[in-house]
Parts: sequence; C-alpha cells; structure tokens
Amino acid sequence: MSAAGPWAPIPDGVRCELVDGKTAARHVVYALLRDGALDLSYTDEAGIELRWNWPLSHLRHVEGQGDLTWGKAPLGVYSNVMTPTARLYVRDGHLRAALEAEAPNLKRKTPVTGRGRLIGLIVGAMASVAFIVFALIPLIADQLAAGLPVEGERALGDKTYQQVRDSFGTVFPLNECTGAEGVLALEEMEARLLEVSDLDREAVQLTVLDHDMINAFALPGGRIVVMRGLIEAAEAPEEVAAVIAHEMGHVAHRDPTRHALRSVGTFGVLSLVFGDFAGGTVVLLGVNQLVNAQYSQGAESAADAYAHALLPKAGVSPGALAPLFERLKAKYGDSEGLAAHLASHPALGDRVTRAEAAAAEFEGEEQPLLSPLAWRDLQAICGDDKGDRKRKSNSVAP
Amino acid sequence: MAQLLNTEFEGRMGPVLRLSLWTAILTVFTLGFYRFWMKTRLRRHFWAAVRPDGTPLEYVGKGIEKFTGFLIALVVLALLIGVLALLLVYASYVLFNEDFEAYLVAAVIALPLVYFASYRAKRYVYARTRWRGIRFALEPAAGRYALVAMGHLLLALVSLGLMWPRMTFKLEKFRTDRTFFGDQRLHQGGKWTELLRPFLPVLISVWGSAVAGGIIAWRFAESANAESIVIALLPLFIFIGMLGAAFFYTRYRVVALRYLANHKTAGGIGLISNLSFPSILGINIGGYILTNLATAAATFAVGALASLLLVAFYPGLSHLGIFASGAVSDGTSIGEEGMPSAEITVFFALFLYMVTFLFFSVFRQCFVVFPTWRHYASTLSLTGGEHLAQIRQRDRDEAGQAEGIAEAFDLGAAI
Repeated sequence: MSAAGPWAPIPDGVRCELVDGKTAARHVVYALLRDGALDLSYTDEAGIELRWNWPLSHLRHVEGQGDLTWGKAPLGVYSNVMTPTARLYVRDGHLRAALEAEAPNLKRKTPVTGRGRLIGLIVGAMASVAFIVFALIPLIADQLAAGLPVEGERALGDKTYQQVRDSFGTVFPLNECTGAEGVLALEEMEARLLEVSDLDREAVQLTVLDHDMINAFALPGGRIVVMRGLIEAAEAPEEVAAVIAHEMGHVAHRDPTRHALRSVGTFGVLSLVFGDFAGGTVVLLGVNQLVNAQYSQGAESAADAYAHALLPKAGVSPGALAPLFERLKAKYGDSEGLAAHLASHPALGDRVTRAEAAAAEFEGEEQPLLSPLAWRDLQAICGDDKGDRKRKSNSVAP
Repeated sequence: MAQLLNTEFEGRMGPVLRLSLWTAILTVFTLGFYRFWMKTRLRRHFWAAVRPDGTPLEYVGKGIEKFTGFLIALVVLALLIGVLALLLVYASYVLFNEDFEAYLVAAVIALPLVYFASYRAKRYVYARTRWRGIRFALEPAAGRYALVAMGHLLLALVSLGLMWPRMTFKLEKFRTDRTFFGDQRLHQGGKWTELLRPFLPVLISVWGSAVAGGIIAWRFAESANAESIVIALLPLFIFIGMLGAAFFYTRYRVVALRYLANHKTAGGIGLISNLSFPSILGINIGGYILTNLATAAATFAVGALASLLLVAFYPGLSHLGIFASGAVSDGTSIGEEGMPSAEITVFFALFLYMVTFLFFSVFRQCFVVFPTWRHYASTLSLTGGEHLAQIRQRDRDEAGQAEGIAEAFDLGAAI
C-alpha cells in the first residue's frame, strides 16, 4: 500500500487544491512556502507521490481572478508561468496573504505579440472603410439617383419627410401648417415660380412645417419644406421666394435624392463601426443630414445660379436673397450661430455679393410676387397664436 | 459510485454594477471602441462566478482578439451593409415605391450569416473557456451549420411551425456533438419529439388567434354596423394571442434548455439541470421593471446635469431649467440669438441617446442577465465526477478572428 488513503499521515504544509493542466482531475496538495519557493506535494490517482516546486517569481495571477472570494473569504487562484494551464487554488488566508506579499511578479502579464500586425490591420481596415464610405458609396449613389424613376423618388421623399416630422416633433410628428388662405398664397407662389422654370408642373411640392428654425430644405421627389421660422424672419414674399428658388435648383439637380441614397449606405456603416445596434445614431444623423444638408460647394453654387436665372423670369430680382442674408449676417455673423443651411458654404458674405451682382444685371421690371393680403395670409399659415408664442419666447431671450 | 458535483455561484450585484458601469463609461468615451474589452472583462467576471464543484470557470479571451477579429470582419461587413443596402433600397424603390422589400431581402440574406456568425462566436468562446485547467472546444463547422439551419428553418416554415422543436433539438445536437471538454467529446441524447408538447401552446396561441381573427374578419366584414363591436375587439384579440405566444415561448425555451441539458453527456459524465420557468419569468419581469426604472432615473439625472452645463453657456435657455438638454436635443430654438447651434443640438441628442442606451445595457446586465446566470448555474449539477480524471487536455484552438462577423449582429447580447 502506498501512503495514500484516509490513514496516511497528514503531510506538512497548507491544504490547497491543484489542477495540473493535463487532466481534469483536481488534487489535494500540501503547500509549503520556503526559500522563496512554493513546495507542492500530492498523490495522484495512481497512488504515485508527486512533488512540484514553484519559485515565487514564477507565480502569476490568473487574469480577472486576482480577487475572487469564497463566501466571505478570499480565494487565491495562481498559475505558474512555466506551466500556464496548471492552477493552484488557495483557500487558506495566511498562505494567500503570504503569497500576495512575497511573490514579486503576480500581476505581470504575458507580453503582447504581433503589434505590427495589429497596426497594419487598423490602418487597413480604416482605409477600406474610408474608401467604401467616401468613394464607393457616393459613386454608386450618384449613379443610382440618376436612374430612380419619379414615383420611386417621391416615395423616398415621403419616407424622409415623415422621418423629419417624427424626429422634430416632441410626442407627435411636427405639425404641417394648413391655414386655408396661407396654403392658397403658398400655391400661388409655387405656381408663379414653376411657370417660369424648366420643371414639370408636378415636380415641386411646397410644404410649411411649424418649427422655429430659420430654414428651408429640399427632399427627394421635389418636396420643398419651409420652416415657419424662415417665413417669420422674411420681410417680403420675394425673400421667401428667393430661398425656394434656390431649393428648386437642388431639386432640378437631384441633389436631395443623391444625398438620401448616400446616407442609406453611409450611416449603416457608421453604426456598425461604432457598435450602435439600436440604430439610433443612424436615424439622428440621417435626419440632421436631410435638414441641414451640406451639399458640396459646387452643388450650392449651381443651385444659386439656378435661382439667379429663375427669379428674373418671375419678375423678382435675384437680389431678393440679399436683404434676408444681410439681416441674418448682422444678427448671427458670417456662418456662425445660424445653423440653417442658409449659412452653409459658400459663406453668407459671398452669397450676398453674388446675389447683388446678379441683381445688378437684372433689367426687367420688378413685380410684387404676392399681394400684401396674400403675404399676410402666408405669414399666418401656421395660425396666429403660433406667431404670438414665438414673440413671447423671443422676449425671454436676452 | 456516481459522484454528484453541485455548482456554486459566487457573485454579488455590487461588483457587477461597478464593473459594467465603469466599462460602459469607458466605451462611451472611446466612441464605442472599448466595447470589445468591456465584453471580455464582463465575461471573465461572469465565468469566475460559476464554480462547478467549487472550482471557478475561466474565461481567457482577450479584448484585443475581439478587436482584431472585428477589424477583419469590418471590411466585408462595410461592403455588405453599405453597398448592398444601398442597392437593395434603390431596387426596392424602383420596383415597389417603398423600402419594405429591401429590408425583407436583406433579412433573407442576413439569416444564414447570422447562424454562421453565431456558430463561429460560440467556437471562439468555447476555445477560451477552461475549467480545472482543461480547455473546451467546438469543432469548426460554421458553414455547414448555417446550411443545416436554413434547411430546418425552411421545414419549420413549411410545416407552419410544427417542426420548430425539431430544429431546436437538431441544431443543439449539431453543436453539442461537436463540443469537447479536453479530449472528451460531448453527446446530445434525447428525442426531439419530447420538445413537441411544451411547444404546442405556442402554436395554439399563434394559429388560434390568427384563425379566429380571420373568421371574425371574414364573417363580420360586410355587416359593418351591428357587429362592429366584434371588429373593434379584433386588435385586442390578436394582442392577447401574441402575449400568450410570448409567454409560452419563454416557457418553451426554459423547458427545452432543461431537457437538452439533462440529456447531455461527456463520456461517463452527465448533467442535471433543475432550471425553473417561474423563477426565470420572475427574474425577467422584475429585472426589466427595475432596469427601466433605473435607466429612467439615471438618464434624468444626467440630462439635468447636462442642462445645467447648457444653461451656463446659453443663458437664453434658463427658462427651461433642467429640461434644457432635452429641449435642445429636440431642436428647440435652433439658430436663434443666444441659442445653441445645430451642431450642438445634434451633439446633445446623440449624447442623451448614448447615455440612455448605456444605462439600459448596464442595468440590464445587473438586474436581468446576472440573476438569470446565477439561476442557470446554481441549478446545474454534474454526475459521474469520478470520470473527470480520465479527461485529458487538448491543444489550443486559435479560433482566429474571434467573434468577427457576430459583432455586427449583436449576437449573444447577453454576455
């Protein structure tokens, strides 16, 4: 008989548990701390007595198991750097405290390898995502936008319009302004502008939304949204018409459709990169993109040029843009504070200059776009009380 | 003599809350990139709490592995999500004037990918799990798994759900029979027909309410005046049916998990699970109520703090008080004098959104996942412990790319 079994003498040392990393058997070991090393002795299943010697400098914590407890008492889990799959479980408080105090390298981690590969991977991944987002998706979106039939474009526009209303409304979607006389005035303006443009009678649909923002934007399918804030900031119908003419330029050049298609791809990729599975970022950024669309400088200039060509045909001086811009500039500074894309590039100052240059060439006779009565109707399209509230909130602001 | 080994669970809510809150904050401040390390640290914590026969499980995965795996998968996924989504949405608007079809096709494309990714994710997690120093492993077979899963799914669809329990069983068997503990292969015993009974109430809830609803709609469609009350009750009827289906499906999941666990063996070693459905249901209901309350309170507190900051910079917002950040993120007063610009508005909206998202995941981790995990562990026992000595170590499985594609689907969102 070997020394194993219940009648064997209890060896010296503290009773611990050991797994050797070779089999799933767990051994009762007796650990003795002496001369800067841990002596471990145990008897395996075959009855063979084994002795291990772990120098304290070889002892390591198992990552994430440095401060485990066992009931209220701490449970020490150690491995040996030379036999990394073996584990020593120490439940004895004194031995554990001694090991924590004397083993010098417990917290040392295995060195990170393949740093070069990692950097290569990060650079490579960033480069290919950048290529997909900034080159591939815009390229494909621009091609597709040109081929989208009118019905599809309009459906896309309705969808994005709904998104804008939902996201700017607090509980319910943002109100569409439908004051009967106001809508008539709006339709009159729409008809006047469309009449002289190269667009279809059906190509543009004007809508006013009940929001303070001084802004107007075009959506796919020719829906042009004017925020109440813009109508209130304008002092004449021609100023509103000038902004609308600019947006008609975007519609004619299909800028909003290109933009909407691009953001379908781009924001999906972004939410993947940042790990936002709920997709909230996508919706938020997407709506912001629609409303505050920062078209390229070329697209903005082209839309301005379109407006400058269109307005004289309707008997409006292209300079009509200028007074509104001047007032906004005086109030908010050049491109600062005012977030509406009226202030987007090219900078306000430039656009005023060019509007005035275009106005200088305008030789036709200026005709009022709306009668004073129709203009008052348009100003009240969201209902009178809204205007009152707006004035009140202004009086609070210093 | 069969040795019965019980599982202890050593873990408290406090440390879990501290760890998940801290790692979640790091995740927000690194724009989400810390999430790989967050998951790794949480897993280490959760694994170490589970102690079959008093020896803690070990999770030895590394955040950096998950991160590099994600980078590799990112390129493929960016193409798939960016370009394919764009093409699908376009095609859908051209053909149908709406984008519903695009999402349908995308889902059909994503489905096998989800199974593929989930198998690979499991393989990585098993390869990084150890108990008593011995590695677990799952044989590489993700492609076949996805294929088999599609077959079962089709069958379940064609059989109007009757074959669903068969899919549950066969897929579990597919994975279990490829799972190793050391050099010991696991085996899934039992019969799929045993899962049919707990699944029947789900089928009855779904088809019962659908058929009854159809009959009502068909029978009373013309007589709109007299029996219109019946028509009005139709949504309520469907709602009750869906609620019943959700209830019975949760029960089915628990019962199936228990049955499948009780019929798993690894050589002479077996499992006994005493998983209880009422406990799981209680944990989920109570846990989600707590999660939502805590999330609302925490988000409100952060929103109020952010409002103070905003009011300090934009005195024009002072009349809004602690609701300023909420109002700003809703786009109130953009571009007016003394008011925040649109960029700041979007920033605050994103910030509040991220904070809500963060708090929800943290509290869910503590109040739902953690107690569920505890219940799973403490109701699990091993039989035949004397056979453990015969199980030998296996070589390390690199399981390169870690969870890779799975990162895109938020698979195993729990832990």
